[in-house]
Amino acid sequence: MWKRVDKDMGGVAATLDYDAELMIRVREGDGACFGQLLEKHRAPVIRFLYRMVQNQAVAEELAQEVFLRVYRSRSTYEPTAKFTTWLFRIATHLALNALRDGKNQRLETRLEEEWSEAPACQVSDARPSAEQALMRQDRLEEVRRAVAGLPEKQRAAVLMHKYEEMEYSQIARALNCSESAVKSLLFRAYETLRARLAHMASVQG
Amino acid sequence: MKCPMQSGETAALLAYSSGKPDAARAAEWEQHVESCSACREFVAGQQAVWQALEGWEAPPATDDFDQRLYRRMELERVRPQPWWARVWRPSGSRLVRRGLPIAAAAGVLIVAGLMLERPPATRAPQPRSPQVDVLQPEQVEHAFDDMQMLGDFTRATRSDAAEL
Repeated sequence: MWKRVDKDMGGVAATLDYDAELMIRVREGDGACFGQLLEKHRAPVIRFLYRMVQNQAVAEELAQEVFLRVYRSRSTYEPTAKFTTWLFRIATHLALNALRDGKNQRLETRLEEEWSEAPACQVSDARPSAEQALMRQDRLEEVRRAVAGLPEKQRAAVLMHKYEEMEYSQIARALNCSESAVKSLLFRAYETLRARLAHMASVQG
Repeated sequence: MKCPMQSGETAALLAYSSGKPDAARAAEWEQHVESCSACREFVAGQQAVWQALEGWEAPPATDDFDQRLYRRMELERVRPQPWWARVWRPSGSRLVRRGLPIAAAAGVLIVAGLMLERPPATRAPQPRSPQVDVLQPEQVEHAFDDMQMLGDFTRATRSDAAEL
């Protein structure tokens, strides 16, 4: 899906991905290509935002804003980076702002209710016994709290690294920092997570 | 192989822990981790973290997500955003986003410079205090009275001396 183009951007020949090509077609007025981008990236963006703010309603609201901004920017879009990097840069920016504004605090009660009412949707195993389900729910709650306890930038870096499998350079662009800063963020974040979650290894077996 | 915990190759150690080591050095890594207790502990702890994180699934999008989005896009098409929202959006023109703060900072510096460079206004001569004008004749009168009293006193002492 990768394509090398000769287009020179600021003196550096850029490698254009398929998504960026779609976005260029959106810029040229092809609305169907926006639909394709939405179809492909909707789930990862919502997943990322959900794990960032830990509230489904807020995550969806933010994801809508992400795609709205993508659509609004179509006329000025320049493929200077991988499309996913740009998309996650917008998503990260919105998530960090929402966390700083305390937007998800208002729905904290709803979050707690969500967790107590709907454990089934969070658990991978289809039919666990009641005891297993409770244990799994406890472990999940511990994971959720450990991730929520990370500083915002470390959290974003871990989520992009672990779940979206993004490279250090992509995470750096999304977080607007250097690659060495990303390495440092990840090292500190995983150090904290190891201290909080390493004991789960024996339990998970 | 030098211990990555000491050489600062933590990114490579993370990659090894996640099961994606540098293919060319995989065997070398394997050998080192087996012999190094610190790295073994790191890898075991990190693998537990990966495993714990993998169990955390996010719920899928609600069914009407796209519908709501397209409705909002349609609303924006009908009612475009105000100019300031278009300028300040994070995904907007890089030139505008970078240029505006620089222009604002330059503006502040110019204003500050002008204020500092402006020559101090020449001080207008202070009008004499009206209080001084009022008191001055009184002071003169007092001075005359004092001189009169001193003169009287001198004369009185002289006449006393003559009588003696």
